[in-house]
Amino acid sequence: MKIDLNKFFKKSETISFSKEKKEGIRLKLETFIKETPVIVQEVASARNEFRWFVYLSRHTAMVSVLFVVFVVGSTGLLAEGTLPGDFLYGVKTNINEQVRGLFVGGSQDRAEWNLELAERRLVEIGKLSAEDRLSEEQREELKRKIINHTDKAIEAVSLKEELSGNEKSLESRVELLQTKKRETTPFVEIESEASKENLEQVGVQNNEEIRVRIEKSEEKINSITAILNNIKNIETARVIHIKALIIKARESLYEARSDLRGGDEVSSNLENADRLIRSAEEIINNIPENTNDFEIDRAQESAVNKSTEILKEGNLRKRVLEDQER
Amino acid sequence: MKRVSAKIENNFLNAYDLYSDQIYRHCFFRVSDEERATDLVADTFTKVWQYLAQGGEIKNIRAFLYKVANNLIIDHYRKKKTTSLDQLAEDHNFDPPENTHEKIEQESEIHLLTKTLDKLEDEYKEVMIMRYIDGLSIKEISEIKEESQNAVSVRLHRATNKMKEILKI
Repeated sequence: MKIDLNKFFKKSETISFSKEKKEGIRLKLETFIKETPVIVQEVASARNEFRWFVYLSRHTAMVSVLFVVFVVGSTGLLAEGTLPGDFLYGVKTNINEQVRGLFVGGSQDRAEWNLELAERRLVEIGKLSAEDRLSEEQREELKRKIINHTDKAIEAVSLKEELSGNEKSLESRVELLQTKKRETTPFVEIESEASKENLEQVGVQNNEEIRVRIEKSEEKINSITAILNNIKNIETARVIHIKALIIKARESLYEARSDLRGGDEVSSNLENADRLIRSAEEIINNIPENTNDFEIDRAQESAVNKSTEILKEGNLRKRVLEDQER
Repeated sequence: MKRVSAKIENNFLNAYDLYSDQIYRHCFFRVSDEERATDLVADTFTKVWQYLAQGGEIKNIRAFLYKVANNLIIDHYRKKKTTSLDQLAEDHNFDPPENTHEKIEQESEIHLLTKTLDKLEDEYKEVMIMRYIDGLSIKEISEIKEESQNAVSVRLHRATNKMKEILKI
């Protein structure tokens, strides 16, 4: 018997659902569909996404403006944490701070804003120092800015005249402010008079207001004093560090001299002395220049001279010893 | 949202009208039981609707129906609830033809077909039914079975040889 497979399977087509059963299942399914409706949340959310797209495409101008605002805002925000030498530091000082400064009005607010700026610069000095990347130029620049901001703050709390006769150094400012603090009564009187006059000019004669203003002025003075003291502390720490380096260099030089003058093993002593002198020279050469500290500058000069002198002495002695040996 | 829901319902019922016979036939030859095949059709469409109702997406409804039916048939075999072919022949709901000579002959051929298929191993039986009774392409079978087209072709070739051997062609 030969059977064609296709024909053989063709017979299967005669198998089908009875109409009653097919209809019966359909009715059951229809009931089931009613009882179990489709959850169309995903479709709805997809439509919402589409709506956003349509909305954005229709409002291109607004979207562009928002985008620019977002970019500028986030750049400004990123710039806030920068330090001198960083890429966005210019944005922080030339845009962020300048724009904020435009919205500052009134002497008290101006004083406060300038104090904040001075504090910011001070924090930057501290951070750069801690990270060991504070260059001389940056230090000088930041110091100049701090002085500038404190000057403005001082001016805003009516102390300009007091300052005008003095030399404009950090020390003189600190001294002036500390003196003012110690002489509380006369200070309050001066301030009181100044404030009173100002207030009378604008028609306000309220003692309570005067008292509050004086208190605020005192707060500003305290802040300025704290800032200047901090700068002084940083300066002092730097000077102490340099002094320590010079002491180390001097120790090396004295040890070298002692090696050159004593003992029989002259050759090895000379070698040791030579090494110590080089080490001292290296330390001295690495001390920052323009320290503005007379004592350090003098010590530095003296250490260099001393090392040169000892080296000369050592080389001379070396030659004498070599001749003797011959 | 109502419009979307109505559209899905409409598409689903159209799919039932279009494919329920094919699914029934597939199930019938797989389980050799008309009643069970009917239940499997109902279960298949119920499960597909549940999937749609929960937000599921279907790209190819026909392939998806076969896939669901296939899983249900596997479950059926796991439960081992098979009935004999003799019972099937006696079933009045089997679209019983009138006892004309032609109809009797047709019935006996179907009987032979189911018997031959039952002699095949299930993996061969499955592909033979899909290919020759359901008329699915190799690609469609591979999608339903989630296997490579090559694997399906090889199995189909072996199944055909086996079937020829049984039928002594």
